[in-house]
This record gives sequence, structure tokens and C-alpha cells, in this order.
Amino acid sequence: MNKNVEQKLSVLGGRKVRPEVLADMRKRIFDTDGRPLTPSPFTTPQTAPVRSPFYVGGITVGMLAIVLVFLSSNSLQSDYMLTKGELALNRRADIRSEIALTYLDSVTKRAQQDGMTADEARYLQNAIALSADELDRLKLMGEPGRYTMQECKDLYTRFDSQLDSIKVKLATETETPALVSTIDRNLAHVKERIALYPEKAGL
Amino acid sequence: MTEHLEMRLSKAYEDHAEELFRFAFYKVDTKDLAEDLVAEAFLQLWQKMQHEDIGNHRALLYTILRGRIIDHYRSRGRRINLTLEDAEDVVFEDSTEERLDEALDHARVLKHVHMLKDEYAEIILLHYVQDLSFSELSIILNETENNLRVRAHRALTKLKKKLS
Repeated sequence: MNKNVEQKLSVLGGRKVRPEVLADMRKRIFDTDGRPLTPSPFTTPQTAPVRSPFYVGGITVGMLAIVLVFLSSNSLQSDYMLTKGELALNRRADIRSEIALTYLDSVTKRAQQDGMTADEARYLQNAIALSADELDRLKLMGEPGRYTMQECKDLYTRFDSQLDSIKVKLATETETPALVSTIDRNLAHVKERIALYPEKAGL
Repeated sequence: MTEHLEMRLSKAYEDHAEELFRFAFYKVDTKDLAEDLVAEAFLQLWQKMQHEDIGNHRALLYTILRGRIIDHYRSRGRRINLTLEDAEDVVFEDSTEERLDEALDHARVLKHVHMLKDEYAEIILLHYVQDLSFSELSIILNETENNLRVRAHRALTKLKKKLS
């Protein structure tokens, strides 16, 4: 039995990978002239804060935003400032998108608690716009060392389902035409992006 | 000098990319992620090659890749769906019906490998699947060959029990 298991494991190790997979991977390492690509200086977390002025600036803005949160009494505003602070501290598109989507989720939950006020509608509209902006920075094919094509698609799908869910909940609200229009516009855009995947990415 | 190094990297890619991809794919179960991790390993090797003379590319690539996979698990959580058979068509050749049946059987074995403790699963993949010798494993895992032999034997026995 042991021998049989060993044989199966050995066959697993001998399976031939499709040449197109290897060719695709090669493109992530070598340029068209066959020269190795230069790895991003920000790939390793240790180098990022030292080399990027944006990052250093981001830390300052982030700290300032956190201080402002403590000074602010409005919790919607606090959440917004905190999110802006977190965004300022991160430069990776995938992490920024996750932060924005988490913020959208929290604003949505708050707005749904006991009827939506005009203020909540405004913040929700801002949160959608913020998420859309951040997701626009993502590269459909992913970025080596940061996020994959699949993870990018997952973020778009998450945004899509969040918008769908907000839209369903808004059916009971009457005073939110601007919000509905923002949702519709973004829904169309995100669905277009998701639709690109089967053709471009084989997903 | 640079051209010489580029040729060495290219040769290392020709020699090891396939096995490294297979190892990464068996570990993370996602084609794109496996491609990313292997690409990162080669780019990191390239950086190292420019500063030091690397004797054993294969062992170093496995060491880097293994570290990248662990980093990935730490940052994103371990999300192995174990749906290997779904990816067969896009990853491996020979997807004829007969080979597919065989592949499904092997995928079942692999699922049981993932159910073992990490240290056992890893040695099964590295030694029995990837065919790395104990001396190479000793470099990659920084442990004595004797320890690794004992662990490999225990891991295989546990896998056999799970499969029976």
C-alpha cells in the first residue's frame, strides 16, 4: 500500500504543466528581450517607507487624520476620517480597495439601521464614489507580488454585490434619487469590468 | 558579466520553473497565485545572483518560494479550496478521459496530504512528489537529514492510514 501511495505521489510530481502556463509565468520574470525584469522597490515592506516620499507623506496625513478622529464628535465623520487615514498609510491598490469596501460596508450598515437620514445618504454616496475610485486603480491582470487576477476579480465582485444589496434596500427609500443614480452608474461600470474577465483572464 | 548572469537565470527558469510551479500550485491551489509566487521567487533569485555566487539554484528557489507561500498564508489566511480537479484543464497537459480519471485519483491523494499536519504535508510534497533529496531538503528546511528521513517515513505512514 505504501508503495502504491508513493507511486501516486511520484506521478503527481511528474505531471506536465501546460506550456502556455510556463510562457505566461515567464512574461512575469523576463521582458520581451529576455532580460530579467527589475523587481519593484516596494515589493519588500521594509524598503517601502524609506524610499517612497509618498509613503512618508502618507504617514503624516494618516497621523493627522487619526488625531482629527479624536477631535470629531460625529461618528460618520470619524469613520470617514479614519478611512482616509488608513488610505493615506497604504499605497497598494488592492489593500486600498479592501479598506474602501470595508468602509462602504460599515456606512451601509449604519444607514440601514433605522431609516436613512440625508446625512447618511450623502456619506453613503461618498463611500460608493471612494470605493469606485480605489477599484479603478486595480489592474485587471493583477500586479506581481501584490495581488492576482483572481483577487482583483474578487474585489470587483464584492463591490458589485455590495451595490446590488444597497440598491435592493433603497427600494423602500424615496428621497435618494442622486444615490440611486450613483449606484446605477457604478453598477454598470463594475459589471463591465467583471465581464472582461472571461475573455481576458480565462476566469 | 550581466549577460552571463541573465543566461544563468534563464537556464534556472528552464530547469526549475515547471517543478516550482507544480509545487506552488499543489500548495495554494490557484493557478494565478502559483504563477505570481514562482515569478517572485525567480525575481528574488535574480536580486541575490547580482550580489552573491549561488551554488544551488534549485534549493534556493525552493527556500524562497516556501517563504513566499508562508508569507501569503500569514497575510491572506489559508484558503485552500482543494478543488484541484477543476484546474486540471488549464494547468496540466494530458487531460484525456483516461488521464483525467487518474488525475482525479491523484487529486484525492493530494487532498489527504493537505489534511496532514503542515510539517508532514510539506515533506510529502517536497520529497515524494517533487523528488527532492534529503540533502537538498536539509538545506531548504535547515534540518538534519536524519530528522527529515524519520519525518518523511512518519508522514507517509499517516497518509497511508488516511487513505485506507
